[in-house]
Amino acid sequence: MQSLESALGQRAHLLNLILSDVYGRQTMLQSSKMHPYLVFSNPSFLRSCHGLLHPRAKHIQLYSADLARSPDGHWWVLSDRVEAASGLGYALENRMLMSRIFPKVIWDSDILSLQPFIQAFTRLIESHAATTSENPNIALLTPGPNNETYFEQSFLARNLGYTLAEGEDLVVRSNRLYMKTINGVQPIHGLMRRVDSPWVDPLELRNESLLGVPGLVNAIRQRNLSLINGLGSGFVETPALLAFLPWFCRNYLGESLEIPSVATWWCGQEKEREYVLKNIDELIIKPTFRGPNVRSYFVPQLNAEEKQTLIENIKRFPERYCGQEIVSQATTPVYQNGQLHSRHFLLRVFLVPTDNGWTMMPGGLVRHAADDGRVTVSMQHGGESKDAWVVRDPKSGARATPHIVSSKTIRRSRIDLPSRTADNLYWLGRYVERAEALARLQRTICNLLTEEVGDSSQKAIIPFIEQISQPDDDLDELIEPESEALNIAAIEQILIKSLFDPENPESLICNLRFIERAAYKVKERLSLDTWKRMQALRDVAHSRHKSATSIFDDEVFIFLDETLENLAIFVGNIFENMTRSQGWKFLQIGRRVERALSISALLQTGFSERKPYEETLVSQLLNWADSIITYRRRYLNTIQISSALDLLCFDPHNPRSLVFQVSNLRELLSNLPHGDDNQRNTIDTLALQLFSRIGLSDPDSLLQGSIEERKESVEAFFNSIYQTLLDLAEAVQHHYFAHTKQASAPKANAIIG
Amino acid sequence: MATYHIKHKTIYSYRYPVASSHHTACLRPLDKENQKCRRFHLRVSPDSSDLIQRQDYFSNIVHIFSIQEPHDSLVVNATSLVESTASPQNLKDIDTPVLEVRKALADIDRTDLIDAKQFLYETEYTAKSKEILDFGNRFFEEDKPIGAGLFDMLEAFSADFEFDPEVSDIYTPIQTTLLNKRGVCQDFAHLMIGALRAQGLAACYASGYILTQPPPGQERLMGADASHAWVSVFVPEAGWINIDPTNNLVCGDQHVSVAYGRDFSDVSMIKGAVTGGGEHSIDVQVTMELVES
Repeated sequence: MQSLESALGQRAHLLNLILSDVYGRQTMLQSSKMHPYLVFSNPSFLRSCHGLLHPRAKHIQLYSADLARSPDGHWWVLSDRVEAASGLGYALENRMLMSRIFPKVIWDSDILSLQPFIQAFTRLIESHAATTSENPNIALLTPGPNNETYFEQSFLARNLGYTLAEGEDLVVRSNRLYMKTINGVQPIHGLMRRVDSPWVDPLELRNESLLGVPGLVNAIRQRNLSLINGLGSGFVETPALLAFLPWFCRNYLGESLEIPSVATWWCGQEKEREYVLKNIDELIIKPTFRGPNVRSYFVPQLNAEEKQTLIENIKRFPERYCGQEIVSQATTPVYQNGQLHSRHFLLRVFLVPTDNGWTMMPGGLVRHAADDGRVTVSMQHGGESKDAWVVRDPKSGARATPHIVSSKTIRRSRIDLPSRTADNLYWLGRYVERAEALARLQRTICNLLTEEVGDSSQKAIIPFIEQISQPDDDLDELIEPESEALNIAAIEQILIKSLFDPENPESLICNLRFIERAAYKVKERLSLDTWKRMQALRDVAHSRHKSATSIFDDEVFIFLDETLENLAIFVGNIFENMTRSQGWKFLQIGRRVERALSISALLQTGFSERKPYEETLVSQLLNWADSIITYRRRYLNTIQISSALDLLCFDPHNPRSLVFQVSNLRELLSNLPHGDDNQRNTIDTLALQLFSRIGLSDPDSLLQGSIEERKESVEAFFNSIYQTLLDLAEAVQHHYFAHTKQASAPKANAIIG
Repeated sequence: MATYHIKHKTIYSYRYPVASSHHTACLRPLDKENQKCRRFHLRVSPDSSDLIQRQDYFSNIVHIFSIQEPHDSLVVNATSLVESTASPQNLKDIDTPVLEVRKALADIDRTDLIDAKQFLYETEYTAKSKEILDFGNRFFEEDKPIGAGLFDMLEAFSADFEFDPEVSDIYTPIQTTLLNKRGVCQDFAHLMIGALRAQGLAACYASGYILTQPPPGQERLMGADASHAWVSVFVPEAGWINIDPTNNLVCGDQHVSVAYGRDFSDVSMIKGAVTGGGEHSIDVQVTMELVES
C-alpha cells in the first residue's frame, strides 16, 4: 500500500506537470519533446483552457487510476482517470454495506477506514473554493439522471454534503457562478464536476452541450470559481501519451517511473510503427486519442479480414493508432451461485494531495469480469464490484476508532432547494393528483354505465363525461335524439380516448407517463419504495392498455383499480418517508393546487343545475370524492344537496373538501422563503383571497333562489375559485421556478463574402 | 497603404424575450506587422455590465459579455479605424520545392516552426479524405516550387468554382463544396485549407473584411459589404502568405484581418448561449470606407 501510494503519487505529480506545461508555457512542444500532433490534433486539448489556472496550481486534485495485477504480483496502471473520476461513490457505498453486513469481521481484521481520506478530500475542495470565499458553497456538477453513474453521483453528493446540481440549476452572472434556488440565486465557489470538460460551457467549449453553464470558463478565468478536476485534465488520458511517460519522468523528474504503465507504441513514429506492424498479433490496437467514434482492437480476437483492414488503416493513417502490450492479469476469487470462481479484475484507486504529499485512499473499487476468461472488465457487460480492504499495519501505532461510517460526516448543505428540483417536485405532485382525479372520474363513469340505476338516473354520467372530454368531442351526441337514451358508443369512444390515447395529453396513460418523467428528474429525493411504486404504475399501464378495447371489459376496471391503488401507495410512501423539507412542501403544494382545481371544476357542473337525476349525481360526486362513508355516517341515506355541498366544499375536516385544500395550501405557502421580492406579495394575496372567498360563503346562500339564480351563483363562485387557483399556480411558478429554463447556443451565422 | 473606417452592426431579433444571454465577440481587427488597429469601439445594446476583453489561444482579441435583463433583440455595434500597409507577395518568387516545405513542417526538431505546425492538422470543418487529397495532388508535385503550386490552386478556384450564396451554410462539408463547385468565401477557404493540410502544408483560416468596389457610377451603399474569409498559408522562406480563393488573389491592403484560427469555429465573429428567445433572425450590416490612401 505504501509503495503503491508513493508510486501513484509520483505519477499524479508527473501528469500534473504535463498539464501545467501544455496549458501553460508549452516548453515540451517548444523543445520538440512532445510531438505537435499529440497536442494540436488532440480533441482533449482544449484551447479555451489554456492559461486558465495559475501556473503553479494543480490541475488534478483527485487522481484515480485503474490498476491490474500481473501473475507475479506486480501492479500496472492500465489507465488514468482524471477527467471525471468516477467510482468513489461506489467504493464508499460498498464499504458502508460491508460494515453493515460484517461489522465484526471488519473490526477483527483491523481494516483501515476510508473516512480520513474522504475528510482530506473535502478539506481540499473547500480550501480551494475558499480562495474565492471564506465560507464557500460547493456543488457537485452532474450530467443528470440519464447518466449511467447518476446514482453514484447523488450518493457521493449526499455523503460529502454537497448539493447535486445539473447545468440548468446554475447560472453565471457578472462572471460569478450561482445556483438558482427557490430563495433566489446563491453563490457557488467550488464545483466538483462529473461532467467531462468539453461539455461544461456551451459558450466557450462544445456549443451543442446542454449539460453545461454558459460563461463557466470565464468565471474560472476571473478566479471566481474553482473546479475539481481542472478543465482540460482529460488531455493526460490520451492513450498514446502512455508511450512517452517513462521518458517524461526521467527528463522532468530525474527519476524512473515507479509504477509502469502498459508498454505502448505510437504509430506516428516510424520505428514504433514498424514494431507495431511486426508484432501486431500480440497487441491491442488503440486509437491515439479518446473520442466518441473510436474503438480498441484486441488483435488476437480479430479474424483475418478484420486484421488486414486494421493493418491497412494503420499504414494509411499511422498517427491515428497506437499499439499496446497485452498484460497477463491475475485473477481474484469470486463467490457466485454457491461456488468460488476466478475472475480477472481491475482495482480503481484514488489519491489526493495533502501537506504530506499524495495520499491514497486505503481501499478502492474492485471490478471483476462477468465470466471466466473474459479479460475486459465492464459493469455494462455484467461485471460486478467488490470492496477493497487495506489491513492496518500493526506497527503503525494505535488503532483508530471504529470504522463504520459515522453520521457525523453527513453534513447539510447551506444552499436552498434548487428551483428546478422544486419545479419538478411541484409538477410531480400535480400529475399524481391529476391522475388520481381522472381515474376516479373514469371509474365513476364505468360504474354508472354498468350499474342498474335506471335510464334517467344514468344521465348523471353527463357531468362526469364533461370533465374528461376534449374540446373536439361532440357532447350533444351523448344522448340519442329520438329515444333520449344515452349513446353508449359515443360515451365509450370518449372514455377510451381519455383512458388510453397516447396523443391526448390529458389521457390517463399520458398522465402516468408525466408522473414517471417528473419522478425520474427527482429520483434522488424519492425512497426506493416510492420509486418501486412508480415502476408499478408504469407496468400496470403497459400491461393493461394494449389488451383493453371495450370499457365493459374487466381489464379497464382492473386497470383503474390498480392505478388508484398504486397512486395511493405512492402518496402514502411520500407522506411517510419524505423529510418535511422545502422539496416536500413543493410536492404538497402541487397536490393541493391540482386537487382544488379538480374539485371546483366538478362541483361547478355538479351543483349548478337542478336536474332530475340530481340524487344519483350527488351520491356519485360523494363517491368520486371518497366521502360517501362520511356522508352516510352523518346524514344516513338521505341525499341532501346542501349537506353534500357542505361536506365537499366547506368542511375543514374533510381532506377532500375544497376548503381543506385551500387552507393547507395557504399554510404551506406561508412557510416558504419569501425573499425581499415584492412579487411574493401576489402569492400571499391570492391565497388569502381564496381562503376568505370560501370562508365567507356557505352552501345555503349558494343554493338558494330560482333555478337561474342558483346556476348563476354556483357558477360564479366556483369560476372565481378556479381562476384564482390558476393565478396562484402561475404566481408560484413565476416566483420560484421562473429561472429554470435552459440556455442553448443558437446556430452561428454564416458569413457571406 | 490604406486606412479604413469599418462599421459592423449585428442585430439579433428573438421571437420571444430572452431571459439572459452570454456572448463572445471576435470583432477587433488585429494589430500585426503590416496592419494597425488605430481605434476600436464595441457597443452592445441592451447594455452589458460585465464586458471583458481577452486574447484567445491564437492571440485574437475576444470580448466576452452577458446580458442579464430580458430583451427581445440584441445589437452589437463594432466600429474601427484600421491602417494597412500590406502589399501582395509575388507567388512566383517563392520557389522552395513542395517536398522541402513538407519535410520541414514534419520535422519534429524544427521547433522554430511550432507556431505554424498547429495549423497542419485536419479539423471537423477541414476533414481529410481521398478526394480532398486528390484535389491537392493536382497542384503540389514534390519538386514543384510551392509558390507556383499556390498560384495554380488559386487559378483553379477561379476557373472551376462559382460564388453562390444559396447552396451552403456554415455546416457544409468541404467534400460537398468540392463536388458542387459552388459556395461562399467560407466554403472555399475551408476547402483550400483542407486540401493544403492533406498535402502536409500549414494553413489557417482568416476572418476579416475586404474592400468592395461599388458598381461604376454608383455611390457606396452603407451596410452593403460583408465580412469575409480567406486563407493564410505558411512557407518557411516567406512566412505567412494570405491568399483569397474567392477572389483569386494574393491579399494586399484591401483585406483587413480580424482573427486567425484553424477553421471558422475558432474565430466565429459572434457566438452566444441564450436562455429563452425561441427562433431568431440575424441582420448584419458591414460598411468599409476608405479614409485615405
